[in-house]
Amino acid sequence: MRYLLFALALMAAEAQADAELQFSLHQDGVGRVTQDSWPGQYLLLTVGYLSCPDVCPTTLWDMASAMKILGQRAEHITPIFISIDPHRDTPANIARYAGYFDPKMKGLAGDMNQTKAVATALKATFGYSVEGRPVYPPLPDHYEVYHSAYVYLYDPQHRLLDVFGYGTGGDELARRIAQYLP
Amino acid sequence: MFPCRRFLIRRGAALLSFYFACSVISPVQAATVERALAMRSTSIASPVVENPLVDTSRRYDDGARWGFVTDRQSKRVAVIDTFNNTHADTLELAVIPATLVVSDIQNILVYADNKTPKLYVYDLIKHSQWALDLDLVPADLAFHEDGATLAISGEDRVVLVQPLAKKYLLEIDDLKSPFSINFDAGGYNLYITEQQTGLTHVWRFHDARRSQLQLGNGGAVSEITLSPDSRMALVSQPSENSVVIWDLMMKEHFKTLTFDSPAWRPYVSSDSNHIILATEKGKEYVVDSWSGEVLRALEIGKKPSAIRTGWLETIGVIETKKKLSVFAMNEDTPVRTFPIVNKLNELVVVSDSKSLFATQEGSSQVMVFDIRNGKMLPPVETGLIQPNLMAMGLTNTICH
Repeated sequence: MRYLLFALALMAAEAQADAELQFSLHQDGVGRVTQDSWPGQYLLLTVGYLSCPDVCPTTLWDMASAMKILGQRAEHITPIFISIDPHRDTPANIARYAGYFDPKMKGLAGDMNQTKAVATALKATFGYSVEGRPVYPPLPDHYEVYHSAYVYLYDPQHRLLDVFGYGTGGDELARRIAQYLP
Repeated sequence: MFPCRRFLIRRGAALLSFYFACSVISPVQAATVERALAMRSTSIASPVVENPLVDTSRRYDDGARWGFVTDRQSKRVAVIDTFNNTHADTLELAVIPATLVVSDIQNILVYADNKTPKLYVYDLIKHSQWALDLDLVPADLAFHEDGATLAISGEDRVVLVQPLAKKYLLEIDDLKSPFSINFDAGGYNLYITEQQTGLTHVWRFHDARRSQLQLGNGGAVSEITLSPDSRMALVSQPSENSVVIWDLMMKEHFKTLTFDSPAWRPYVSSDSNHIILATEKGKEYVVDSWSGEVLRALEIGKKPSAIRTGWLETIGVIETKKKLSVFAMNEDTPVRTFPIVNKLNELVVVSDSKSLFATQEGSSQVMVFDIRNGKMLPPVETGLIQPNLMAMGLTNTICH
């Protein structure tokens, strides 16, 4: 039954895949935040999880590198790392982790429904597995996480400007982002 | 990851019903594995060959950026910069590759000519290359998720090696050719599907446990398609005009979809939400992978030869004779068609899902299609005689 419920939730999410960016998540020390919490800012987002061994830190490093390369122009951008493992990640530890890469980078987390909602808005994919087989909430003690590794750039009106694949690299990311900045 | 080059159409006589059999590796098998490890864990490399033709300052270590295009008539490989849609370099290999894979982790190009018992390795950083002597002629290659371990299929067995470490690890035997090899997304299991029967050997990577799964009714099947979330295994069963979907989590048959003619090897979008099916007689379907319901039924063209998805998995792309058809998977909008002069050999959707690159029969150029904006871009001249295979370290396409 839980398999069915999770599947139905994902199906519902899929039906809204073309909706503009909307989310409601928790930022440590701030409380509830939404897509409107950084007015006038371009949002550079990715999803991942704290214990991700390779893909997430690489992606966050690329995002942070791009911010450095963009220099003053990066003032227009708020980079955001969103946890898709709310079972284990907290707003406090995800915020601390994101801050290691760039002081401006926000780390956000929500409950499972909020996480599904933001993943839907981003057209991101995530799930959990044990020994290669998918598992669904309620999750066991030990499980692995899989997720898509795109980086998304939204304009201040929350319109999707571009998406960058895993491995794009900080230099290329900066070059492409710069094309959209004022 | 793999081109759909092993699609078999053969009307089998067997009428076995679905079954699922799971068996733990026997002590005899375990001993065999241990012996293989003890006997073959030695370096078997031939001398390293420095390549004088390349600029060694070029590091092709970015799997999302560099595409490697082989030439069917020479040992040359064109390096394509998929960020800028340009031909960046030309490498010289030891033989003409018949199969080619890239490790984005170890930055090596691994290939075989399917004629000799050798595996060839090209270091994309040092521009050196070497060969590993094998006791089988490679038919197909599949990298494990770790980017270090490579499965090599031969006539009646699979061997696992580590090309960079130059180590021969073990072999999985007692297989009936032809068969396909596919690791699941996390690299937990290697699926070896005997294509004349659908019997699939599931070899668990961490403990060498071997189990079996019968896909289809015992007749010929296409190469297996594993959904990126490891939830489903799918095969086309040409003799029944059907596609069989197996639920790997529940360990049971999920659904069999029947059509008017044989279906091409099933395709699953990289987000695992959609199954794309195309039949010989020109019916195409977008199926919701969770419910098994048909979301869109299309009539694009007969004899499909490639299926891909992209632009964040909202767009489907199907190649049929002389055209590329592009459609929204979730919306009932008109299908857009793009004429193509040359048959496409290999199609790769890059990791950001926005562009598709394809080698073309009878052309030295690589076709570039902008999936996001739905338009053909200027092709990339490779300088090759006949571009054939194309491999990248990272793509949007998993297990194809």
